[in-house]
Amino acid sequence: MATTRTSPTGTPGRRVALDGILVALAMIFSYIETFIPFNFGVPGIKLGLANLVVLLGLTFLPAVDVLLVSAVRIVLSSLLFGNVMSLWYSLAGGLLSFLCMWLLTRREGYSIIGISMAGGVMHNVGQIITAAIIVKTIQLTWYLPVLLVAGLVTGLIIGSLAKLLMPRVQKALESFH
Amino acid sequence: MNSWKKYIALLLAMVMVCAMALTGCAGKKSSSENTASDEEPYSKDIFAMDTYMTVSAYGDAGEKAVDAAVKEINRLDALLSTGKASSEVSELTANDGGKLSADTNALMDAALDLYESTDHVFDITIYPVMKLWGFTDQNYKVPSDGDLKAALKLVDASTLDYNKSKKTVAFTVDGTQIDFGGIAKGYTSATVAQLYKDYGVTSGLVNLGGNVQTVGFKPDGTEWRIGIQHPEDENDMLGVVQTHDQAVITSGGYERNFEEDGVVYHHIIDPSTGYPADSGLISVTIVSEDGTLADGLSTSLFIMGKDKAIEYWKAHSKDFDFVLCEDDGTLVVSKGLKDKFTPQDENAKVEYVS
Amino acid sequence: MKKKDFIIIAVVLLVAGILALVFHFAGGDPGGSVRVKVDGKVTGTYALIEEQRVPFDTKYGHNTLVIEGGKAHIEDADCPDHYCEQQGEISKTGETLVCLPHKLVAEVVAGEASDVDIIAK
Repeated sequence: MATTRTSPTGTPGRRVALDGILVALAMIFSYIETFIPFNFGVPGIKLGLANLVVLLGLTFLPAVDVLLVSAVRIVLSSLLFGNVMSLWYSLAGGLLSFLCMWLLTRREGYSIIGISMAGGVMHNVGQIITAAIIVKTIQLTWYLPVLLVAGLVTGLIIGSLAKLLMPRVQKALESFH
Repeated sequence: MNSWKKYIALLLAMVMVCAMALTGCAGKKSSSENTASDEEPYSKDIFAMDTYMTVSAYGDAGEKAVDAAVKEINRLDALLSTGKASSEVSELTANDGGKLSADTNALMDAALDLYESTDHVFDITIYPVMKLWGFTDQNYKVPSDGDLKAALKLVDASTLDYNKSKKTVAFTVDGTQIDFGGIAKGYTSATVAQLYKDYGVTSGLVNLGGNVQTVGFKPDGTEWRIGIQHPEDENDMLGVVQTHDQAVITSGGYERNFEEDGVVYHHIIDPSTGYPADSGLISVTIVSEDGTLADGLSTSLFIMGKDKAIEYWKAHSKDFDFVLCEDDGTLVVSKGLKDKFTPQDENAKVEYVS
Repeated sequence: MKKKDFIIIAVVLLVAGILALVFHFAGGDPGGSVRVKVDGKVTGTYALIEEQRVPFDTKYGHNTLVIEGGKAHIEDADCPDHYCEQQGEISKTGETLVCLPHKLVAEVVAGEASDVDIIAK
């Protein structure tokens, strides 16, 4: 399916370069995110700016590349800006979110905003599952509805940003030959 | 194309392996990344000094340190209990003084220092009055004026002829009785804290019937969060103090009291009147590195009232900090706790003293 | 946004709503239990989710542990001071009810996480 995406991958060199740019971009977003005091009065909820990269990446790169970018970003940013515990939370959330968004991009009828919202929600679901496994309690359960809605809202914001950025990214890609 | 997939799969696998290896190492190196609940402390609870105590310590040395702490607490209890005829304190009272052991010598020294510095508000010779009220054996009653006057005559720590270097004390007035109860728990918690350090414990918590002593930081490296009991609602807190290596000791009339003819009488007796202190304060919390001092001052400042308490603190601000709760709910917090104390009620009136 | 996007929103809100309702009416399983010790020995552990009255008759005297609405308190104590009855309700991990004369301690284990490590009183 990788080769059937709208934008051709081009040469291997171009592809690796794009992957690298996206990792760098995602890292910058992760860093910026540490400055944004965005919360719903509930701890653990983040805007998820780096998700922007995954979202845009899925439109012009093979899925496996986006997964790689996302994984590298999570490991690096957890080590730099977070801690070891946050790595597992982020990996679980990132993976589930990626799977969900990738499946939706392969289906017709979902806009980038809808995909983003689904991704945001699944990201939080992944974190909840990790928390339940690590803490070994069901205390967090009341938290779940709050996190679901939170994922929807952050997804909406990120999705809208992605929609705004898409035309510019497409343009940039055309000139990137 | 195929080789690309292999290359990427390999990279991804490496990332995962790295992540696992890193988490594994870091997890072992410092437990600070884990939440406190991940590591269970070694903990024991005992009944001693007329209260319920829990001592707990984290880390490898925890078990030995806690066992030693329990022994130490029982030893001090046997030494200081006024209820046991064989205790050193009982024998001192029976013999109108005598030779002091290392612990009672330290306590006597601290007690008389407090007696001086608090302008006689803290007085270990208050025992006859406490007995009259029934606070020593729970036979509560309001004493008659005559009985109270007679007992009050015996309340005067300046009559104790104490020699620190010779470790002796002589009661110069017949009928004098002493009780270290006002500082015994603070002294005990400080002793346990020192014992923890001797055993190499870097993280522990000692709770002697609500008198809290923290040792080091929490296992996750953050400060302990110590709630302060709300004096008027047993299910609520006044606020939270964040601290490490300090004692947090609260006194209030709610701790021990009885009701007679519709009047509530509490156990913090003002030695100048012989009656429960009525100073406008309903709770006093002292935070200090010196547990003995914190224990003695929590009742002393309660008796003094807000203005004298602030005055006292200004003269000794290096030694401790406080949270006072006035009867209208106003919280008075000393400067050192400004960033360490969080009131539970966001709308509470809080005055900071500096 | 497209039509199917709204389906995502609707589904998520529906699930969140149902979950919230379930937790609201279930009172939120406190998950914890109360462990009772007499003279340092554990005599029993009682789930906070179950409404119950547990009488304790020991050589020291009588207390009844009452669990209601996910919280525990003590009633019917025949100790001289009755302080155990005045200590209110406990529901958070580490909170205790203590009856000194009867050497009875009820402590919440594995309950709702407490905001503080201990309470000075």
